[in-house]
Amino acid sequence: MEFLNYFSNVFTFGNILILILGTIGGLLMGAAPGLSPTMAVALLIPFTFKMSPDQGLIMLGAVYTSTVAGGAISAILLKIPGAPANIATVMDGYPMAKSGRSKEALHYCFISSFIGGIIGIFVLIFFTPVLANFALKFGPSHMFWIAIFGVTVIATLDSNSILKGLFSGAIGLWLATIGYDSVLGVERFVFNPIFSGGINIIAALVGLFAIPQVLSMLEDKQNKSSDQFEMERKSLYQSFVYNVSRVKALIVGSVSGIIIGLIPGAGGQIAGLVSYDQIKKISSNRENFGKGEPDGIIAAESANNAMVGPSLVPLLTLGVPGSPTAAVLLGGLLIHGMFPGANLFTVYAETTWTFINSLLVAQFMMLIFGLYISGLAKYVMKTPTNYMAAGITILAIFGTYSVQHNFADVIVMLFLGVSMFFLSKFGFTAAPVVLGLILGPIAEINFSQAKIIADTQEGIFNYLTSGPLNLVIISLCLLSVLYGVITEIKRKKND
Amino acid sequence: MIKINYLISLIFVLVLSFLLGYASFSGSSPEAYLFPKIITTVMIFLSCLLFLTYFFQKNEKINAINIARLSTYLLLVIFFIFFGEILGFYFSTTLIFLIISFFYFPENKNFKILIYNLLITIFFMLSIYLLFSVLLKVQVPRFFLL
Repeated sequence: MEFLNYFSNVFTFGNILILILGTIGGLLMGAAPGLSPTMAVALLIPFTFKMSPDQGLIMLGAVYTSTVAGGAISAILLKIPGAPANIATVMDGYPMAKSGRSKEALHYCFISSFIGGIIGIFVLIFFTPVLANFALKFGPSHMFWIAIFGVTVIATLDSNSILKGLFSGAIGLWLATIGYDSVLGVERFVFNPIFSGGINIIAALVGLFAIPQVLSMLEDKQNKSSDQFEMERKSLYQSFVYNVSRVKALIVGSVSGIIIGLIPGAGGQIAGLVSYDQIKKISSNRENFGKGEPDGIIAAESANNAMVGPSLVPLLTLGVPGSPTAAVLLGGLLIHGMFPGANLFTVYAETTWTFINSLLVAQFMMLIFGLYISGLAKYVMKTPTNYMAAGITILAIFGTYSVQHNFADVIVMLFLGVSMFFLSKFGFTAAPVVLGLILGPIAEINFSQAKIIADTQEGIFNYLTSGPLNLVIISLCLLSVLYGVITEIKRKKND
Repeated sequence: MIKINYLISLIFVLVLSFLLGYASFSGSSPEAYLFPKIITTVMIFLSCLLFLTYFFQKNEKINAINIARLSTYLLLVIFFIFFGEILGFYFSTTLIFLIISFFYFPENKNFKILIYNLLITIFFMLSIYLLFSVLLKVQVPRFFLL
């Protein structure tokens, strides 16, 4: 119950203000189609650089939680999921809105997101310290393989092609070697003086996630927005009572979300779809699914928010993110000098627990503001693409520059962003590149340390591949690759 | 055409891997370049596999790129890279916002739309100025007063 000792830290004026701003901003960003949670968190990281670590993390956590829930607003009202996590919500949310029950659908969305989110955060609170203590047993070879595992998992799950995913991850790992070698201090791959400091993580995050999205928006000739539905009057109390009575849908959603969140790299999109599929299979109203069945929304939304907390468990303990957004959040931790592992619960215990507690409070904020803001969000959804694209570009430029006051970072951000857009057209994805870039230094430092130890013993290959823990992590790496191969073969057969 | 573009992308990936491999293997310090050597070896292996799979795949789904539509944005990016620092951030980004919002405006463009976009640009850039220069005290490159 250590988390209770730091609970009051959340309730300072500054932290509450940041929490409110983060929640409202996250809900509005989530409601805007195209602004995914990953991109929203990436765009905000430069702003948190000047904040204290706890305030910065509170802001990012609140935005992460609320963008996932906010994405359901456009999913229900426009049939456009605000984020990949809300794909399953469209299936019954939109038919409900179409039949004049949009407010009811939004009520279910936020109430079940709240319930799922609270359960997920408690998993984070109770699982993380246990796993963090276990991580203390890890030596350089284990940490090296854990970093490689993080890259392989994201590469296999966030990409349609295992080869392209792994190649993207390798590009990220290589990009991380630009600049000075951390062990010997040798300058590497500095083709131009602007690269002497290496690739700035924030510049890469913003560029890789924001610029390709902007280009995709502009490429699409259909400048939204579509017609929306008028909102009916619906008692919140009635919705709440009905929602809470749908125990089966809530359990299926929350449990699916927790399990998928704990699996590194899986993410909210899978959580929502798996829970939707499961509840459809066991529901007595099976025939109503796809026509406006509330259980579909309840299961999907409780799952994608229940996933948020558990997705941070492997991130905070091992540095292996549970979702692409968690991968970006890892960048937020690193810029404040905090590395995943047991240190987070000893040296940085106050900051870490304040952050985790703020996620709990953020669920309440998300419920309160979500219910009231869903009416206002329709104006954000109406923002034409040209203004959205222009605004994101300018924010990305100023946000990237503000971190180090270095124009080279802006050039790197724009270059990586445009390159990623073209690569994405051929099936390469940004998340493995980012994770490779973030985990690259961790992998290399541990590899170098392992080599120093191994040179006095049995050689690097034996050192890296001996011992039960090494073998378990190597097996997990191979399994994740194998899973990717099997999924790809199955998908191609179905096509 | 799309299939040819895909093949070109795979050749690009292959060439990129070999170039990075060459840069890694010709590094001055063998110890410092060991990790990049391992990564580029993996990259070369993966890019060769990707190239080989091209000949065994029947219908790879590739999205076409509408370069014509994106050319304005891409030219603005190049403009900013070369002149952003010289012309100042506020001046150059105001131009970029105005051009993107006007050029990609969905309906027929006329003078009235230009004025409308100009007002939105001024409002947005004022918000950016308040956020970054006043609130966060970020000193961005300036050009005269902007």
